[in-house]
Amino acid sequence: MYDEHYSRLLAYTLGYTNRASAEEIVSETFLIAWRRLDDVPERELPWLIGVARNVIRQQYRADRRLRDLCVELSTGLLTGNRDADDIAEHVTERATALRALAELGADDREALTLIAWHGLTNREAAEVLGCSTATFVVRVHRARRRLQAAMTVPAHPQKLITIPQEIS
Amino acid sequence: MNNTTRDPLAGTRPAFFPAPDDPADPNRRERDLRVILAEPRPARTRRAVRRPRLLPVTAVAAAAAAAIVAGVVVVDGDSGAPARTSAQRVLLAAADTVESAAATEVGRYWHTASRHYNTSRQGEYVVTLDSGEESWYSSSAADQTVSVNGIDATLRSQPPGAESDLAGAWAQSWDGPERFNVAGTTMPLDEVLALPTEPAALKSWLLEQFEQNPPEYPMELTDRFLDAALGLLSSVPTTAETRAATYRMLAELPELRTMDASELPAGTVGIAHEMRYISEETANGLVDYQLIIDPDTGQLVENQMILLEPGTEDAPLPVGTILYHVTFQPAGWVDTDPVVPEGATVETY
Repeated sequence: MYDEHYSRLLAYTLGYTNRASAEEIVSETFLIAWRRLDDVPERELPWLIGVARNVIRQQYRADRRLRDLCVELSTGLLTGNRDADDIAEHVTERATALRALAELGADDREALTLIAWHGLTNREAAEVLGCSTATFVVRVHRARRRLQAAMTVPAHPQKLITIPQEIS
Repeated sequence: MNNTTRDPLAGTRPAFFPAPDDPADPNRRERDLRVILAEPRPARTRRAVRRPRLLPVTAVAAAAAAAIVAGVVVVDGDSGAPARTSAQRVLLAAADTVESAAATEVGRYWHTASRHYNTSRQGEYVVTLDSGEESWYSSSAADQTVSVNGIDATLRSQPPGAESDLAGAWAQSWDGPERFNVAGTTMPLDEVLALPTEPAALKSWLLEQFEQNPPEYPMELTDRFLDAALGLLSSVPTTAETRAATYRMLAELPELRTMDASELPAGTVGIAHEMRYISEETANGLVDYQLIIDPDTGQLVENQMILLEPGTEDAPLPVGTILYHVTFQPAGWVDTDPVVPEGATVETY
């Protein structure tokens, strides 16, 4: 279980905290899984992410970090921190999407990143959040609409200026 | 994601996130596993039968379930002797038959075997996974429990094209004596053998377990009884008397339907119940949950779930799809060694 899910859990927690803390959270998540082995369902990953999510929420101002991360990534793209073969148009699109993501509500941001960044299916993401798949599907549909809306609004330049935080 | 428009978040995953299959840092891994494995090993109990969980739905269902729990009436069939429904006749006959079987002595292992068919949608394909499972649950510290999964597994698709090679069978083993899970409560063999043998007592006992082990999602009470009964009848080493009590308890549940012969394999009888089922495949629609019994032995032989009504128009699977189907071989006590298929990997815990 550890080897199979380690990297995806670490990627998930890195969205919410720095590298050192993220590794600690992943450790704690596996320790909890060990203690509650009987509770771990057959599809382990959503359950593990749900546990990590609870640990994060107990210990960190998690959403703030995810929002700042989106802003940082967006700014980074616009200021040249990107792959050499990136097409400028795509870079701008991605930066715009990230900035829009930062402007969404915390619930929307969480729903969208579970799918886009962590590769979960709707059903898996619903399990992480403890809601029905139908509820999640509706939620993510609305979040996508709001993301599209936020992408069409011209950015306020000051929104791209943020206090840089350590990413890794 | 949405297939018709480009996902605006494509390519925004932070580059410093590890890739899903990146290995953990070896030092970190060693440290983590040392800490984890230093903890006393928890009792490892497996649900003997793996099946989709019954997760009926929504806040409305929660309110309904609460109302049902609050208003529970244990109906004793002998008050005024109401006419029996055909579902009751099927279940009471199965109770009499299963009870008349000769008592069996506890042996080295409680042996179970089953085949599972699960249907889901993968892109444009409807795929069905068919695989076998066989377990030997040790009754003492002298033997290890051995559970083999993925026996003769095949993946079929409709239309053809999504078949894929499946790994061979794999086995897991762990120290006995095995503990068993009944209605969310884990217990040693002697407690399983001492489970109530009267339907009213069994029902009260199950209600206590339901209270102690709330489901992850609201579930109708009838659905919880059916779920618990499946375990008691198929996978756990219950006595013949407890199995009979399980059938008699089910006979008192309202809303059960007798299956028509046209729905059933030849020579079997069955009862069914409609319930909401949370899954992507059903879009949280209505399913028919079916328990199929061999009337000659009183054994539960099959359990299946059929999609009756998708939760939304664009549900991934069509009405009438068999979402899952399990066939059980008769379970029983054996003294012979477990048989692991040749080439199967064995993990020991």
